[in-house]
Amino acid sequence: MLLFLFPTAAVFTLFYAYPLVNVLLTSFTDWKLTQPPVFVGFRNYVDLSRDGVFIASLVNVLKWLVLSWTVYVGIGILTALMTAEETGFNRIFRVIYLIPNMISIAALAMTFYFVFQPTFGVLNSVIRAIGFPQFNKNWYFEYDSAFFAVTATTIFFAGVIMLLVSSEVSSVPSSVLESAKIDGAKRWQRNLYVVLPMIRNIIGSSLILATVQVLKVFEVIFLTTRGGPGTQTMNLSLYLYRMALTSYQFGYANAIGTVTIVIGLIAIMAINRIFRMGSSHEV
Amino acid sequence: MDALRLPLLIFLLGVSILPFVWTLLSSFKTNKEILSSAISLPAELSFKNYVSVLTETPLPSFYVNSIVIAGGATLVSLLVYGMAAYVLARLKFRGRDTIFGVLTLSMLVPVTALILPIYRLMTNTGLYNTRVGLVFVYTALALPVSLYILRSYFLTIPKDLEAAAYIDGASFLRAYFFIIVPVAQPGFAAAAVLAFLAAWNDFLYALILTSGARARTVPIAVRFFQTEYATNYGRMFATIILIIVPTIVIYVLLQKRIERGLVAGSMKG
Repeated sequence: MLLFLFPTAAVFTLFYAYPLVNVLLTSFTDWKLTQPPVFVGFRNYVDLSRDGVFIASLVNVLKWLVLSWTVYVGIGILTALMTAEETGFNRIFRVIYLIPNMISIAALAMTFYFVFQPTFGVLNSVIRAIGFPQFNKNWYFEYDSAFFAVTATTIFFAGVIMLLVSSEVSSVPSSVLESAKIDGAKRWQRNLYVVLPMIRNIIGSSLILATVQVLKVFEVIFLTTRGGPGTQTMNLSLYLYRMALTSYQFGYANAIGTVTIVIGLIAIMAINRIFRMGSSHEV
Repeated sequence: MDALRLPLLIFLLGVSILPFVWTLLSSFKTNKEILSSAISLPAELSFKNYVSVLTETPLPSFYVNSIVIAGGATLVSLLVYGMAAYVLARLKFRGRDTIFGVLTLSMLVPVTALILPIYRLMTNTGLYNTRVGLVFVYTALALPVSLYILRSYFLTIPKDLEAAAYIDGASFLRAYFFIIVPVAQPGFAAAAVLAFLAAWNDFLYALILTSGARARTVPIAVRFFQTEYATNYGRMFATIILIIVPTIVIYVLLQKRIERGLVAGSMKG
């Protein structure tokens, strides 16, 4: 009967365990296209610490992490609380708001590539039509707007977070909310002091989900700015891809991968601790 | 919060719909119309861009690839993870919870960090640029969510159901395939639709594991056309619409099921 587990264990070993170990171990080697890997200790990491592109990618990823923990997860929580009542408008909102999370990120990225396109893009066209042509920009390709444009491509689409939080909000017993209401608590007070502490676990899960999503961002940048201008929108995934599949610096690429994994681990453990997840949230 | 409510919700509805409505309208326009009047309605409802994309580019073969690959990965996922989820839901043995924990932790791995070993695994096994290779990779990506959803569903099925079958002398295999699987259809459906969508929508692995049109999937078309037909904007808009329409149709038809699956598959708490 345990044989039932075997295919899953095989998939896990081949596509998760082995690659993880492989990335970690070869990050300590000098490994180029044709030669076998040679152990070099921490040299790749020392080189990374002096690599301007890597530092820029790392800083961008940290900025995007903070933005997604605050703005992205914040929007998810707010929309869940704001649409908690079962009205027609709320139901329609929830259905439509999830659409950008359902479609291919590649298609989403291309759509926004054209939205932000400088000559016939809808954003610049609207800005011109209402009489402010001086505010027209080449959004993805100018120094002061590229980071904003890449961020704006995904940060508003927190439908999945909304869905997770809603499912938990609806399980808050109405008797608790009623008694808070009787005690004179306004709606925002009830949300802030009663609902939020009770859904602490799902907020922690949402932050973890957001963390993994940020670390996995690739398409949005690859199909729009390609990391530029300069290194304004470079991130770890894109730099790893470049090192692995265009420069063939396999050891170096896997050191970038290891850093990505370690950032994820640290963030997830911290979130777990701060939100004391797993502990009961009954009052 | 009440004063902020409508402005925020309407803004979010706007950014969720308007870019796609504009893309749809633009897909009916000629290149000249797009360049001269980007925010006007198309002069006529012309499907010329769609016809030219579907007859003059390899997009139809990408469609076939996508259906075969996403469908294949979904079927393999259900078969493989269904069995594992059943054992993990029903059998009591030492280390069971640890195994389940480790398997679902794969959800937390930023898989973009693993592209190099997976790329090399595929090239070394001759699966590079094949549909089978992508079926394997997408099956692997579906592991944590499928396992979680299926196990949660099996846990809701009363044990008496199989107990009766076992008393009648049914084997473990029979009990699973003939008694549990039919009852657990909603769980399988939720896991299936999420696995299918994840495979259909993936860009990264299709990009690094294919070359030429042989195994390319639909999302790769945008990249391909970005270089091939860089200035034929009408075609690009039509291509984007052709990529997202199947997803939206599936979402609209199975919306409740998808929502429940997303919630069940998200490792709450």
